[in-house]
Amino acid sequence: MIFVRIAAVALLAASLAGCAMNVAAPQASFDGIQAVRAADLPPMTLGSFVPGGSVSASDDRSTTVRAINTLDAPGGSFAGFLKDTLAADLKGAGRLDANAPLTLSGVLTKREVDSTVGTGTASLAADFTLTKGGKTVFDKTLSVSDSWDSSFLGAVAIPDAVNHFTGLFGKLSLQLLSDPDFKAAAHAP
Amino acid sequence: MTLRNAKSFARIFVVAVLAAPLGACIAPTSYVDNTMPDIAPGHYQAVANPKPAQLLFDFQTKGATNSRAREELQATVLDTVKESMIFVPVSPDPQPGGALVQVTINNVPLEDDAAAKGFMVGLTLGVAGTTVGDGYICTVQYSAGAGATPITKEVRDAIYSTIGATAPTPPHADKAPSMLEAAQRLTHKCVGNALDQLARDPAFPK
Repeated sequence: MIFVRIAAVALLAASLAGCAMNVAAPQASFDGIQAVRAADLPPMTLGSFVPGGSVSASDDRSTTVRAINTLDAPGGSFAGFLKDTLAADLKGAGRLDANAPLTLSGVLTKREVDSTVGTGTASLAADFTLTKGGKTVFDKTLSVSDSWDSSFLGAVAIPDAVNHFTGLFGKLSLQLLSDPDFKAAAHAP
Repeated sequence: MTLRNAKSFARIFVVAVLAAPLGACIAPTSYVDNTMPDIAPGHYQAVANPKPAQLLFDFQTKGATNSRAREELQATVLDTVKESMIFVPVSPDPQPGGALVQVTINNVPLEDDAAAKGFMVGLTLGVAGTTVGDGYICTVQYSAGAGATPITKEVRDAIYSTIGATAPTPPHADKAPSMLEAAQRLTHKCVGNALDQLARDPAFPK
C-alpha cells in the first residue's frame, strides 16, 4: 500500500496529538454515468442537501476515526459532499442543468463509520426528494453500507476507514441513479 | 499553551529527536517491477480515426476509493491517455458523440503480513530489513456510447519497498527516486499497456 505507507508516516507522527484528515473532491463514476445514460434521465438541478434524522449539525461537519482522529467533511458538510457527488455524476453524464424543471434534494439521515480492530463498518442513508414544478414526484430513503478487515495498526486502519466511508457517497449516488422508482419519476409527465 | 498540549509537544519533540538519526535506515526505498515493459510514445497500437473520449479515473486501496492518491496520479493518467493517441481529444468532461473511458487502479497487498513486517522493522529501529510488495490491478473500461457493450482490459504490476538496513534488493525491478515517482512510473506503464490492449481488441473501432 504505497499511499498507505506515505499516509502512515504522517499519521504515526500526528497520532501523538490526534490528526485531522481531508478528502478530495468527488468525481463522476463510470457506473454512475452509465446508469444515467442507460435510463436516459432528463436534466435536473440540485436543491438543498442538509443533515437530518440521527445526523446532527455537528455530525454533519466531521466524524472521528479511532477516537482521536478527525475526518472533516469536505466543504464543511457531509450532506453537501453527497450533493457534490451527485452533481459530479450528473455533470459527467451531461444532465446537470440549473434551469431544469426537475429539482433533486436530500436529507442525510445516517452517517456512521467504525474502525474497530477486526471488522470496520460504515453506513450512509439519505432521504431523496425529486420535485417538478413544485410538486413532489419522488420521495424515498436509500441506504448503503460497507464492511472491511480493520487492522490493529491505526496507521493502516484509519485511511482504510476513511476510504471505505467516503466511498459510500458514490455508492449512494449510484443507488439513487439506478433506482427504478427514481427513473420512473424523472420521466413522469 | 495548556499543560496537556505542552506534554504532547514534548513527546513529539522527543520522538522526533530519537527518530532523526534512524530515518535513513527506516525510510523505504521503492522499486518498480520491470517484467512488463513501458510503452513509448508512438509505439501504441495505431488507431486511424481516434474518437473523442471522456476520461474518468479512480484509484482504490483494497477496492475502496482513495481520493488523495487519485489526486496525486490524475495528471499522469490523463497524460498517458493523451500520449497514446488512441482517443483524441481526451477530457474529464462529456464529449459529444464521444466514448466513455474509466481507468481504475486498485492497490492490493501482495502479502497479508506486510503491515506486521513494517512494524517489526520499526521495533528493531531499522536493523531487521524486509521487502514488501504492493500489487496494482489496472482496469480500463471503455464504452462507445449509451447502450454499447463495454470492453474491459486489465493488467497487473507491482512496486516493492525495502525497509531497513538488511533488506535485499528485489530482482526484476528498477529503483525509483521516491514512492511517488514509483507510483507515477507504474501508472504510466499500466495505463499504457491496458490502453494498447484495448486498441488491439477486434471489437474496438479503429
